[in-house]
Amino acid sequence: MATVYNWQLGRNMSYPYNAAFPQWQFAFVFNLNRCLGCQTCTMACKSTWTFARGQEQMWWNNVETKPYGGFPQHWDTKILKIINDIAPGAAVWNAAQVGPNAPYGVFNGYTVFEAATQAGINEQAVGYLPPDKEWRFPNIHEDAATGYAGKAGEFSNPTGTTLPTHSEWFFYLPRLCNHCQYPACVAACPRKAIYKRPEDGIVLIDQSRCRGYKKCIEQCPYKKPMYNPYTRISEKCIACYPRIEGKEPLTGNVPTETRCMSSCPGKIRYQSLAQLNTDGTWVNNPASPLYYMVHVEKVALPLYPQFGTMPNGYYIPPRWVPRPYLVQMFGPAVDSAIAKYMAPSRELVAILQLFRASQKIIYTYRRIDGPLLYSTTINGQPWSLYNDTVIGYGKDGAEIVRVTVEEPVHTRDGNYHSNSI
Amino acid sequence: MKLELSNRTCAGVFAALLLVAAVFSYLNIALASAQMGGVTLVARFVTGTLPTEDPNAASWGSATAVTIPLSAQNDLIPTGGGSVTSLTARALNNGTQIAFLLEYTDATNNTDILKKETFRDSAALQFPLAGGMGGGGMGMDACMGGIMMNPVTVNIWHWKADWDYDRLVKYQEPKDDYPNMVVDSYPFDGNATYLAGRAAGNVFSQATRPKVENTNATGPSTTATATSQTVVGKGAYASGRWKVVLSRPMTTTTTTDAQFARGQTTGIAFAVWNGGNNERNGMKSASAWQNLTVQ
Repeated sequence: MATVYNWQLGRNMSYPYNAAFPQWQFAFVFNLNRCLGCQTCTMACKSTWTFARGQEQMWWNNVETKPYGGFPQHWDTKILKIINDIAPGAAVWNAAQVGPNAPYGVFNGYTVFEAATQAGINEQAVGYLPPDKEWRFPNIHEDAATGYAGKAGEFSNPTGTTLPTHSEWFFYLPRLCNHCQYPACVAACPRKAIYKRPEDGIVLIDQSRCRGYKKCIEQCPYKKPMYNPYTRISEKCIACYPRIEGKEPLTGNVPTETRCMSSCPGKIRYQSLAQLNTDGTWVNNPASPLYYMVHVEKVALPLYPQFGTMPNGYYIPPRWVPRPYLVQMFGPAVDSAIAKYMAPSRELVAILQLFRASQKIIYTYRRIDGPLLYSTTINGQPWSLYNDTVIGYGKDGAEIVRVTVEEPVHTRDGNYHSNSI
Repeated sequence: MKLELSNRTCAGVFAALLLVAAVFSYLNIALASAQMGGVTLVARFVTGTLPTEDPNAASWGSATAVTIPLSAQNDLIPTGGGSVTSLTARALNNGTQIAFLLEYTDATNNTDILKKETFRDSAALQFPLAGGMGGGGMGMDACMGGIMMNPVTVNIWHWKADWDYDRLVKYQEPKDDYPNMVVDSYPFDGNATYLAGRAAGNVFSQATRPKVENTNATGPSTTATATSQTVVGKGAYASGRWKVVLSRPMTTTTTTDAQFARGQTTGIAFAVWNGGNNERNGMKSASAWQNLTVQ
């Protein structure tokens, strides 16, 4: 085992391979406050990559209803239980130890790799292999909220929807491969058939080397590698790498967001590439919307960082969900992330306008001051909204899109009746 | 990203080698003695055609059976296996062809690996090439390719129960396991471009495969399908027992194939994967190197 630094955990951890970092890292931010569970992302992926024989059960992208849903069923609670059974109660954060390379404090529990060592099992990471029956539904228990001690046949609890958190709640969790910095699938593969690309950090299964051992499926804590029973080997999300590489004619062959990102009607998704330093930390660039949301405001948090794989999917937590659940899922910075999202800074408001403003990948942005729209009070603090203009730039610095905080109003020409198209 | 192996087993062995020369000497001796196990399998010379694809042929009765002890692979992660503790081996040659019969107890016949939780039964033979055996046999070299410190290339014949089923009964697909499954359509069906493993040339994904996979390996994690596929064979399962034949012409023109000649004694190692015990890759029941004498 090598020792590698995991900034999401604020400490070193063990990993089977020495640390080596890509120049750029594929990463995305999902605003869970806005996801409507429509599965358009899911179908965009399905219709692009997984429509062939043997891929019937594959959903590289899926949206599941939390807390009960999961694809495969109970993937997160099962791996959490496996780790907890090895070290009961050890999954504790010290949020006070926040530092420059420890944005959420220090995690003192066991990662999937460390839990395997702790348990003395001869595997690179703890895990389990979900049977076929657990992969049947991309969104089982859709829209099922948590219950409450009410009466049979009673539909609503008078206090069930009282903020700041609801006592009856659910939320949609869209998921795809996190293209981790320290992938458990890479660690698990006895064939060394899985690799991480140096140019963009995308994790791929070499289809010519895989021999279908299913170790990646067993040990990826997010359960995103999937087995193809027709070709008898495993496949996974490829982050639409031809689009990332700028081979999408639709956008003029410039770096383009993945199909699942660009199809999002709810505008919850933003995807880009983070530039990395040689030590794996992110290049300090507040003009990068990714960097700003993840490292400046810390409003977007990694999914189950305690697994230790350093996932590159970041989520703005849903504000109505009880905090202990969110802290378990996104770490101890949940409260401050939600507070910042509830009363967003002028920069954050600007960046949120760039979600789905273009299919082309926005690397940096610039905000131009606009007039005051209105002022109010949020949580007892004054807050103002400005009609700023936001410009998104591509990798080459060329302007991709220009939007304003207030959406423009278009008035229909009087020559058309109200229902004309 | 450049990934470098930092295997603790490997590192531990290296440390021992570097720090304690005496230990190295001891290991060297131990490995050398392990290169030739205590069992000699004689490939008996017979005239006429060999039962190259018939595990139940009467002519196997003329071959001398030897018992090969098997044990779990415990050197490289992932370790495991060991559910089959021994096999019975027989061998025949007719001067041009050599054939092996392996028999072992296995409570389940695992040919369906369509499900995410199922694994195949399979068995393999390993032979040294002219470069030597490199020590270990199939137990010490987790991925069947010489030991870690000084890997040498070996030749492995790998029979798989599901390949037999696909070839002799039908190519299995999800509808066989789930007859009520519904799919609206398969766009571009039949176009291998959309079957990634098949398009990449992976032998596991092909509609037509060799009867037995001929592979080479040089150290752990390096098993690769050989360019030449001349090994044949077949398995038969009955009464909780597998009988598997593996056979090939004694000589080939491929330098990475083991070559056999009458009067020769060489090495042979055995491995069995019990699919019912979730065995695959390094999780297997394997032997040390044994002797093979071609009569």
